[in-house]
Amino acid sequence: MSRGELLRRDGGGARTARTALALTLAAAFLTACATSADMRPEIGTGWCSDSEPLTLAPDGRRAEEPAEITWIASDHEGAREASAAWCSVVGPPVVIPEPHPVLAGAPTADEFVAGTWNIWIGAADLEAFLLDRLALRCTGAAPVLEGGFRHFALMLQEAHHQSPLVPDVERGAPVPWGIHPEEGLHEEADIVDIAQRCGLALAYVPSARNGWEGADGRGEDKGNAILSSLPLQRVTAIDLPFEGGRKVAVAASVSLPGTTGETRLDLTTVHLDVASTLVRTLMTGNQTRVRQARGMLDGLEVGGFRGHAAVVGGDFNTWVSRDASLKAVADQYPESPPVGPEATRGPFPADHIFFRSGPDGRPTLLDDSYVLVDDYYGSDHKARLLVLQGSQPE
Amino acid sequence: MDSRKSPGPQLIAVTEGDDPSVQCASEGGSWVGLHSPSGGSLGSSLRAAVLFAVALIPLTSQPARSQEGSASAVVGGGALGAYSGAGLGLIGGLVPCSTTTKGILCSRVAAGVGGVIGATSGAIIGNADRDLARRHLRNAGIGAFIGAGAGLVLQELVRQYGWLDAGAGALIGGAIGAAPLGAGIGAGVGAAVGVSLWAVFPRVEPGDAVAMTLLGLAVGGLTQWILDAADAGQSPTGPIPVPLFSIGLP
Repeated sequence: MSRGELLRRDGGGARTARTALALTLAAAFLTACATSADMRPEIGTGWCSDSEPLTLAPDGRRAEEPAEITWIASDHEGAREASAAWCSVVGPPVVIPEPHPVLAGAPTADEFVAGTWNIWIGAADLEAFLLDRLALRCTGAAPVLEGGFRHFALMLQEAHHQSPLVPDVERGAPVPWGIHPEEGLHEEADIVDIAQRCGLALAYVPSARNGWEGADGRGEDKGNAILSSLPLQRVTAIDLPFEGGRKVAVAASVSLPGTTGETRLDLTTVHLDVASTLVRTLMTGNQTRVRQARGMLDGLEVGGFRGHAAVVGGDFNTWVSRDASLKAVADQYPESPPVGPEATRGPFPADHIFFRSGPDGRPTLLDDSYVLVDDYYGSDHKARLLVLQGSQPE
Repeated sequence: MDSRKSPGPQLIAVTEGDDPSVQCASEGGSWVGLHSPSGGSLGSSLRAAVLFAVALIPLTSQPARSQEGSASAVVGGGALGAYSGAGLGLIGGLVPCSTTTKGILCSRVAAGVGGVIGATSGAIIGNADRDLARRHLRNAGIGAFIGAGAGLVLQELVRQYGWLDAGAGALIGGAIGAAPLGAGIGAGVGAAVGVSLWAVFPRVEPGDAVAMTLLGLAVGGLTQWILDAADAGQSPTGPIPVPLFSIGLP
């Protein structure tokens, strides 16, 4: 059929057809833009700014002076409300600023171990890990330093805490399904209990409630934590851009002891969403993680964590080691060990550590010290460790 | 970077940094419930969906001569192809686009390329063979039905999924279903190649095998559109000439 026949037959239908087709294509493109509106820069998260941290002394008693905690979030109203709703069903952050005096007085070596590990809501045998890998024996009283002990900090994800301070919730509250590994040490592995049994400093900020009830009927929340053998300062909670659920990165500083003064080392633990909603995943090329990673980096800058030696450890939930979120973080942590494809969660390279030296070039990453721990210790993730050295000038 | 401080527990608000890849998103996202952070401007999506549905109507009507195309069939076929191609493009680009910080732009390019290929192929098919265009539409309907079922299941299983995501499941199912054979073969070939490379080469990661599967699905589906268009373009569209013979008897 010729074009003329078409025109005669449909009364100019071909022109209409072209117009409609163009409109359809234009609408498809406009829709693609519209559905990514949520990714615009000022979209943000909520905060728990009125949530004063529960501050404990090394002996487990409540500290008279509550620790200061800085909250960082973006300023989008809708996202703030969403995050605040999630926040309303969790307990307060828990901070133990000082480790046990045994640790505080431990001899200083010129090496510091940093690690990251998703401990799967208490399924991981953290105490065995501390003994095997970090030469710290937890006793419930004064911790025992085994041979080869070096100061350390662990950046943990999926830590959990049961507490009467976790509020009761009503139907309709934003409560994600609970993670309750059938095997493991769940009840004994409450992160606050472990910190106290091992005499470690702790900064724990819950991101979400862990189901409607904890294993024994008490309310339970989960989130990121830093466990450290050195005192923790400048505890900061960064409410990441809201995607699939609320995620809060936790940052703090330690002072690496040295003969001519102390070297500040910033620590950040982060857990990114694996994906957002199906619509957003498809329309954004699954930019969930890179958006959250950028939120973390911006939050660290605002919180004064730029310009110092720093370690970021986390469960980035990455499918491939070329994920954009890893590139974004690696850009700001140039002395990082290579981002490797080694599997840490099933076959996927989910967990990584990033590092940068301070302005004076200290400390440095010890050659070949970046390792993947070959034992799961009951978790569904493997841990990664690295060693920093040279906090003391030569 | 905008920051504010308040007394008491220290609070700082952050405005996320500019991202050139989201410049066309000039309006705020609408939050569709806590468990379904915005899928975007629902109004725009609905308008596009209505426009698309109207464009498909000609394909559903009984034709006077089913083999022969018409302007309306061109529109319908083109719209169906654009939808299917764009959906396939989004699926194929999913993992590759997650490895670039320009993921949104990457997704749009993937959807755009797929959409143009699909629209062109669909229009050719609609013009040349209305029956074939209707078969694509029927298959898309079956795919949408299956996708909707999967979406409903996922909406129950995945915490952050809402009704919009169940609907997206139907749309994706329809996009794949419109070219089922090519998508299926492509996904199979992609998975086989991806898993084989993963097994042989240490640098290939399991995520790459997933990427190749999805990419294979997309390429396969688009290939089916192109091949069908090529076949339809070669078939006669006008009245078939019937030779007349006269037999002269002595």
